[in-house]
Amino acid sequence: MAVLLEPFQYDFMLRSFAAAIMVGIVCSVIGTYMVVRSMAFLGDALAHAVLPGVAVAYIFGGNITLGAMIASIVVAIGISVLSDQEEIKEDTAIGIFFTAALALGIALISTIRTYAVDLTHVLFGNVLGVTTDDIRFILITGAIVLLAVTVFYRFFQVVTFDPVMAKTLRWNVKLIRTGLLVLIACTITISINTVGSGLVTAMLITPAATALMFTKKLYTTMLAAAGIGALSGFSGLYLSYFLNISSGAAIVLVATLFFIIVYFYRKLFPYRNKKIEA
Amino acid sequence: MNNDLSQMPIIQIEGADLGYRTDAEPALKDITISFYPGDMVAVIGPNGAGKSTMMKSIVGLIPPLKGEINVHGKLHGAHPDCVSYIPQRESIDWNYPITVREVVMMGRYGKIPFYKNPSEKDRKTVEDALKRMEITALADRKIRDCSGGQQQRVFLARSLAQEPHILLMDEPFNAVDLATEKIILDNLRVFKERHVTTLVATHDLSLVSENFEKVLLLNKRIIAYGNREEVLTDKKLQLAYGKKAIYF
Repeated sequence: MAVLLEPFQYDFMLRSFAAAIMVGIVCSVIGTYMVVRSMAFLGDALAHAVLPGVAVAYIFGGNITLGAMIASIVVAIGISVLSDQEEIKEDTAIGIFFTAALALGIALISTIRTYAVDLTHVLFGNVLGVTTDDIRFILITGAIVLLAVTVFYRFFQVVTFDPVMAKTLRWNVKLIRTGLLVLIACTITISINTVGSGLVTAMLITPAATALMFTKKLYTTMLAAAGIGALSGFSGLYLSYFLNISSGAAIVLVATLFFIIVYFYRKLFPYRNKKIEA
Repeated sequence: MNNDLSQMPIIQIEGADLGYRTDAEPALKDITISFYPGDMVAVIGPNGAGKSTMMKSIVGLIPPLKGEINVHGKLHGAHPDCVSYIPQRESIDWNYPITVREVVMMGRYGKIPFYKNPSEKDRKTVEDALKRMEITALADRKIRDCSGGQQQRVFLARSLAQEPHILLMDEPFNAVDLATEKIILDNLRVFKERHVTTLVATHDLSLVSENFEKVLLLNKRIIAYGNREEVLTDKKLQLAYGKKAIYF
C-alpha cells in the first residue's frame, strides 16, 4: 500500500499532478470547440508555432513559456486575419502560417549549439521539471481560459454552431473567432511542460471526442471531457512514475484508452431514441 | 394607428445591385422594391435567379454593391434582432452537440444580455414556440437525431422565439414531409396575423399559388411583383424560366 502512495511524498510530484490535472481539464474544455468545428489541424499548427517563440526566448535567455505564448498568439491572430481574405481558405491559412513558424523555429534553433535537452522538453514535455512559478502560470492561465469559456459561452456556442445567425444578430463573428483562437493558443502554451507540443493535439481532441459519443449538449460535453482529461492527466502521470516512461506519452495513451473503451461500448450498446410520435 | 403603421414600408430597397463580388456581375441588378408589415411573399425564380442573394442582403449578410436597403426606415445594419433568417439546410452543422430546446433558446440570445441567464419570460416564449411547432416531445433530443422535417420545425420555432418583425426563409419546403409543410404554412399565417413581413424562397409553384397572396418573380432582376394572379401568368413565368416553363 505504501508503495502505491509513494508518488505523493514528493513535492515535485504533487506539482506535476496539479499541472497534469489542470492541463487535462483546460485542454478538454477548449478542445470541445475544436472537435465540433473539426479544427484538429489548427491545434497541431498552433502547437508547432510555439517553436520560434521558444527559440528566441532561449537565445536571449528570456522566459521560454512567455516566448511560446507570444508566438502562438501571434500565429493565431495571423491565421484569423489571413483566412478573412476571400481567396484564402482557413486550412490554407493555417498551413502557410504553421509551416512558416516551424521553419523559423528550426532556423533559429539550428543556430544554437547546446539546445538539445531543453528543446526536446518543448516537443515531448517534462512535467517532472515543473517549477513553482510554472505551476502558478499554468493555474492562473488555465483559470482565465475556463472563465472566458464560461462568460462567453453563448457567443462561442452560436458562432461554432450557426455562424450565419451570429452575423444576423450583428455580432462581431471575426472577433469572437479570433478570441477563441487566442484561448486555444493560451491552452497550448500551458500544456507544453506537461505533454509537449508534439502531443498536445491529443489532449485537445481525444477527451472531447470521447465525451461527444455519450453527451447531448455542449456544456455536458465539456464537463465530461474535463473529467476524462483530468483523469487521464492524473492516471497517466501516476503510471509513468511506476512504469518509468515519458509522462506526456503516458497521459496521452491513457486518454486514448478511454476513447477506445467508450467507442467499443457504443458499438456494443448503440444509443437509441425513445420512439416519439411527432 | 395600426393602419398608419402598415402603410409605412418595413423593408425598402432603392436602386440596389446585390451580390458578393464587386468585380463580377451582380446576382441581382437594379432592385427597387418595398415590403409592408404583414406581407407574406413567395420569392420564386429559376436556380441562380438571386433568391438567396436577396434574402442574405435584406438580413445584412451581404452589403449592397450599390444603392440602399432600409429596414424600418433605418440603414441596413441598424437592427440586430428584428430580422430572422432561416438559411438553407446545408449551412448548419447537424452533428453539433445541442438539443432542440437549446436551439430554440438561441432565438432569445439577441434579447438576453450576455452576463444574464434566460428569464422566466424567455423560457416561456421558448416553450410556446416548441408547442406551436409540435416539437415539445422532442425538446431534449439532440438536433442530429431529428428528421429533416423536424429540424426545419426547430428552426422555425427559433424564429418564433425571436419575435421578429421580418422573417426570411430560404427553401423551407425542400425535403420536408407533408405534416411539416402544413405546420410551416399554418404558422406563416400566425406570423402574418402578428404583422410580421415574411419572405419565403421556394421552387414549388403549386404550393405558392395555393398559399401565398403576393409573389415576387426574380431572374437576375425583378421580373414581376404583385398579387399572385398578376404574377403567375404564362407570359411572366416564361420571362423568368424561359420557354420550357410549364405552369404546374
